[in-house]
Amino acid sequence: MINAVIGIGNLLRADDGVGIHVVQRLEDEITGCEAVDMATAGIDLLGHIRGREKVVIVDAIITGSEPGTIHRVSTHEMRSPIFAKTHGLNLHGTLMLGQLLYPDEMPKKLVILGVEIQDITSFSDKLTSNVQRAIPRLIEAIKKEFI
Amino acid sequence: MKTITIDPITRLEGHGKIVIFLNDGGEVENAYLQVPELRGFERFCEGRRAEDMPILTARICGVCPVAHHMASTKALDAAYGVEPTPTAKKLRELMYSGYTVYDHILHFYFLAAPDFVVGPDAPPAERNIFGVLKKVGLDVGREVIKHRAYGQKITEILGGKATHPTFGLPGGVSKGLNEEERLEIEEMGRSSVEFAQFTLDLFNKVVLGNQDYVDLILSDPYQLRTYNMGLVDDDNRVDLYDGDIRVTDQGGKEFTKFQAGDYLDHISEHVEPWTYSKFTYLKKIGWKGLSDGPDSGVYRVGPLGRLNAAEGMTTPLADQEYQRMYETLGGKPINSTLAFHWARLVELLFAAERVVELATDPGITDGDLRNPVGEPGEGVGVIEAARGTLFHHYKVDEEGLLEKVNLIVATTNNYAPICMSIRDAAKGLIKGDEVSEGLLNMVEMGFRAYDPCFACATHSLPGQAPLKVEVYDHERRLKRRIERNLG
Repeated sequence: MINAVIGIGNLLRADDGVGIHVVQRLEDEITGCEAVDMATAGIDLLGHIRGREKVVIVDAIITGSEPGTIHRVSTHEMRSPIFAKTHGLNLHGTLMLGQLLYPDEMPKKLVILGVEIQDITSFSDKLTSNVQRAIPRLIEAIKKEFI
Repeated sequence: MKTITIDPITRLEGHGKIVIFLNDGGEVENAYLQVPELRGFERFCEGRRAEDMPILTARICGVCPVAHHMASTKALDAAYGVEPTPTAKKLRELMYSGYTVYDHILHFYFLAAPDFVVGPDAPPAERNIFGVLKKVGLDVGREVIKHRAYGQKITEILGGKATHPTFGLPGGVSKGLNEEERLEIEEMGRSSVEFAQFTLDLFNKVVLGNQDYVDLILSDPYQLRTYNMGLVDDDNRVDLYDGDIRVTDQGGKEFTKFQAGDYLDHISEHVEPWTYSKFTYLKKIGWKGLSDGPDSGVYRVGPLGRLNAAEGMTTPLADQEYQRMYETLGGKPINSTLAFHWARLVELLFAAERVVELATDPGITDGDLRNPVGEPGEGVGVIEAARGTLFHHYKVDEEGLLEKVNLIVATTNNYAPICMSIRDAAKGLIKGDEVSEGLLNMVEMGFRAYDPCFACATHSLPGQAPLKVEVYDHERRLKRRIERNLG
């Protein structure tokens, strides 16, 4: 499929799993677009975005705003350090590596939707209520990206 | 007492930071890596259905999902008193070998090569994968990504999903292999063997061809004379998927050999108040603090621990490399922490060769995928995760629900030696209030050799990860701070 929505996060760490929760919902709700559960894998993301036209990545984010707020981040706005993980690269570094190695295969449109989260320290497969309430808005935001 | 804190991972990842304690003379007394607590996860699992564990535990993190999946599956085999079928065993090992290939490739090119290919003294901004690619070329970079993806593809073919497989079941596996898939895996395996050989050549040229690096590997701060542990087959050769756990002593002789189910007779855990993680040690020797030598129960796991605890490899090319490594570095056991990198590449070649061997096994496409399970009970599963021995221990009640869960992960097994390597690397680089600029490099190299995994780490953006050294005076006033991004 030429378009994809990719969820990133740890499903067992409460709100960190918001990207996975939404992608699992979308598997039944979205057409014309593949829903991919990437879990917390890093550079392997490249295998899922190369050769695509439009990609939306859904991840948890902490900026200090209200939990459940949806931030739309385009790649040229990313300013985070590249090496934020103990194993491999973070999202920014992974996309930079993709641009370096496969400049012709990177998606024409790549958008990151970051959901402001509250709890990432509990072992839980459930979202906190503010983040849970953001899911319908998040699904609408994702669908809008593919119109 | 003065305290130096190094925070190598994002605050989002919990309690993973390095604390260095100085004595009153301003010299390094001890160092500790504070790792996240896993106990919460064990409690989270209790009361759930045991059969869900292979999928659930694989979700702990994206670094070693297949290792947890397989250790969990083996614990269920034991808990339900069932032996997997011969074909299921082979298929499990095939998937597992693919995982080892992709995990070891990532570690070498992304985490080890920056120190060696770019250089330990290079500016931090260049000591990363981009600096490596500048030296070795973008084509090599594409080969890295390609072979990493091959390892994942093998998991996907067998397990449905690359990152979180649904494959292992008590007594067997959920899916067999058809001829088309077998052929695809065989080809990926052959290509991986070639790439592993290329990587070993690169290591030979860049590391072993440079006397400074060889001296660094053999230098005092990176030597630890601990016991070594790893799974072995009937001939005491390295086995990543199955076998008995063998422990060798500082002279390379067998100290003990035991089955997974008996691990509590051989391994104990020591608790310190300042860290969530426990220190494991050999029960028969005892805990003597963070010290090495025959009187201390500290042991090492992971690539070097495994190779030291064994007497060779079962595949021909890897066995040649195994022999060459010991000849080059002065015989067995090798005590140099930095030799973990070489050992990891020997295992990369071994795992790639095993992929080919298993994919060409005449019985690999057979249909005997699962044996019927017995009554639920208690079971221990052990596996060699890329970064070391991993134990899963479950007690299952008659309704198939988990009563008790105990995990000992590789980084816990290596916890004491990691702390000791950090301490030794930091010694000589800290004198009173003076902290050498080389401290971060030396400390990073010390702990990175073990490939520690903060298993339950989260992943949220923006994920900033400064490597931080903070120097406090005896009244806990901050005297100095050095900070950089973790390369």
